[in-house]
Amino acid sequence: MTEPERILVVDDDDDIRELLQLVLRARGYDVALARDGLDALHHLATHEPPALILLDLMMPQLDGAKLLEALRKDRRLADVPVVILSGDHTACRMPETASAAMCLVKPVDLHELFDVVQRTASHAH
Amino acid sequence: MPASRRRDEDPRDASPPELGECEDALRRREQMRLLVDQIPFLVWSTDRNLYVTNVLGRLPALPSLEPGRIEKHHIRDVLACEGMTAALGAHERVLHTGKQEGLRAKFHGRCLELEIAPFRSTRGTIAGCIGSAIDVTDRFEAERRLLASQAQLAEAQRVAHVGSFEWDPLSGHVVWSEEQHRIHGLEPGQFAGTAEAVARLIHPEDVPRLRKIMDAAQRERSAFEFDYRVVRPDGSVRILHILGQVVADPSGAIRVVGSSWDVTELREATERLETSVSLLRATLEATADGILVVDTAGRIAAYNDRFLSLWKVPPELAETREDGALLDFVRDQLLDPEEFYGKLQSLYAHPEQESRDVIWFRDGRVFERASRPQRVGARVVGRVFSFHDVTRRETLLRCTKLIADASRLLAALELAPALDGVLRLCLPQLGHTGAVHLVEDGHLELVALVGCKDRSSLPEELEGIIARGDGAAGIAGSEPYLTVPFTVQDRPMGALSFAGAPRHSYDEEQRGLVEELGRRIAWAVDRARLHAANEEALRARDDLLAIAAHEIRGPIMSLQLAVQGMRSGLLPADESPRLLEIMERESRRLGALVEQLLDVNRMRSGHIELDLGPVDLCAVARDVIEQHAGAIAQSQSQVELRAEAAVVGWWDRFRLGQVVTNLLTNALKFGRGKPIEVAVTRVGDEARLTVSDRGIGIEPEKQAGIFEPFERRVSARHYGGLGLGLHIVKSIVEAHGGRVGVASEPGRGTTFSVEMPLEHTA
Repeated sequence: MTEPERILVVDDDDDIRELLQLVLRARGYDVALARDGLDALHHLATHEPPALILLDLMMPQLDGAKLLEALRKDRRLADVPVVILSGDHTACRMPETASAAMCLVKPVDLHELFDVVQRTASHAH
Repeated sequence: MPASRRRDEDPRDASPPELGECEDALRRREQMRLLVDQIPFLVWSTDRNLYVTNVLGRLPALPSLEPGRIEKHHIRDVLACEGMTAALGAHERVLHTGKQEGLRAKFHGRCLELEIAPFRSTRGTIAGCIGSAIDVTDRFEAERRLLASQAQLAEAQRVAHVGSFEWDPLSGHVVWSEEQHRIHGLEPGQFAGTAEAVARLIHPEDVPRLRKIMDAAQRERSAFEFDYRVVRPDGSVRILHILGQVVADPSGAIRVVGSSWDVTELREATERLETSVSLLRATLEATADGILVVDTAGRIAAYNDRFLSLWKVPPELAETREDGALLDFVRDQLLDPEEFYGKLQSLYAHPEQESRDVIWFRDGRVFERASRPQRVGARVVGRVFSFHDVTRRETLLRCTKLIADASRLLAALELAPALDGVLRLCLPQLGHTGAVHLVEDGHLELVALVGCKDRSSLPEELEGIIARGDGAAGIAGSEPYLTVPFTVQDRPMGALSFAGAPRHSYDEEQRGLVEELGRRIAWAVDRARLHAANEEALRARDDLLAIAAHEIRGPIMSLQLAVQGMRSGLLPADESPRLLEIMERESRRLGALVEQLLDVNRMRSGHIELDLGPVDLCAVARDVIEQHAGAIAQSQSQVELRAEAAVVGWWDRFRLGQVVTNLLTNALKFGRGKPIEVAVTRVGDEARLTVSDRGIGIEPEKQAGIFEPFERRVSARHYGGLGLGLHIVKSIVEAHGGRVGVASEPGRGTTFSVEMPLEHTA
């Protein structure tokens, strides 16, 4: 049996983190959580790169844009696809987020979320 | 010797001794004849049948009446001539009546005076006639000529209404010509002919003067001429002019002679003329216009004082009457001398033309000039110019136009170019330099400057005077200046200043103009600021909406995930309580967000109504901590309340609850699970609340803006729901008359502090 793909959810909203974990787990993914960019980097440094990072942009302490940049700079993490979950339409058009694979605007429809996650998560293994 | 001889005896019959006597008699007769022949006198005698018997004398002009020719002829034949029938009749009548007759008759163009007398014999019977004739033609002619000339004189006097008189002072006798009578209102014959009669006709007021003049004239044997009044019998008063002479004849007797004529109408006409001239002169001097009359030869015919003062012409120059000199004198005063002289040339070249135009002077005077030809009858003899000072009118017009143009410029929203444009409009009329200062942070800042030699700032002295903020005018650095502050509803807005007035000082009118411009600048600035504030408020509201929409997506996402999760059946049933709990929490959060949103909007428009009452801040803190027990547990932060005894103040309980809540939730969010301390103390007559965390802290450059509702530069959404939580805290605290503060070190923690007076004083 293949290992479930891991998704790293990075969002400062507690409830969103918890819910995303619930639904994605129900879908068969392994979900790791980080409450901000620093937290995310910490996790990434200590674990295998995930198949996908679901990223909220506006967070304290290294917001999403800065995290993206950090990821690009890290060879090990540069290929990890990132899906942005943002409350802001315009975020998706910003140059800082150009390296993201997809941009979703909150609130996201559950099925659309599943769809995007499935398509975007790298099936490297 | 016989003594007498009979006429029919021939003297040649006498004896020789009688011859000597006869010769004597003959000689005497011859001598008589010679004598008589010299006199133009004719004598004849006729017999009873009117045959001429003897003729003596001769009439030189009538040779046909010589003795030789008419002796022995019948008198009828002698007098055979038209006009002599009367003479013939006279002879016949004399023969019959024996009465002498005299008559005048014309004989062959000569005028003869005849006397016919009866010739009586010694017996006394009429034996014939004796007639005599004298040629009075010359005398008659002279008489006729005299009468004729007298008539002519009378006629001349009558036509000319000139009378003549002669007065003998000694006798008092006065002789008047016919016309002299009429002049005095009398008919010829009505005048008594005495000096007293004359005096009675003279106007009583003039009598003494007349007497004096006449006495002096008589004394000095001189001529005289004067006017006096007479009162005619019909009561009318006439003025007579008398011209006369005192004449002395060789014996020393004096006569006064002269003529008079009625000058009443003349005097009246003269008076009317003098009145007209005086009226004209008075009008000329009374008019507010300057008048100048120039004849066709370029000589000044008339002018009034106003003309002199308007053109600043010295009286001596005007008195030279030289138009050319006058023109040279005024040349330097004119703004455009060439145009002025050109127009003048044209007017002089077209004498019939009327004109009306405006003259501009270098020193700002403006005159309206009108001119028309001056005519005598149909002939143009000169030109009349009138000048009216319309400086005030033109100045007002210019001021009005300036204000209108300035207002148009100030209607633009871009203030800086508008102010620059307004200053340019005002120069050089109001000086060579203009500046606008606006009040920023309580002091005057230079905002626009035009014309200064140093392009960027005014001379220090002037800047200092303006900065005081009071209106002032005077001299600074040898330049006249004027600075006028402007306000909007008593709020000082700025100042409008000028330097270098063309007339070396700023007058009342210019101050008024600058005040008006200042007012308009103030309105424009105020409007621009209000507009900017409005735009800012709209932007802020847009931001608020944008952020609200953004923030609300979070809770909605949670709700949606939960609902969809439940409905999809993906999630196991035992997760349901958890899901419902999340849903409830997120719903509340949503509700709270909406409340915050509305709150902030209300606060921004200044509508915080405080429901004041006695409130214990310690109790409020305690309650809030209790209410958030769940969240506190979840955050894993320990919250410690450090409160002494009650701290009671006059506050709005609900609003203070909001304050503590917002600060607490902030600390929970960013406290990183580290202990949080809430402390309530009393300091003097103030209450002090602090909420401290040991969380991530706030960067120094963000600390200042943290209480402001979202600045675009900073992602204000970091802290509390809409990022407005702290703004709400600040609004509420300040509404209570208090202040908020923050102290933070990134990585170490943050302490928010609130200080409020116990008694509400805000």
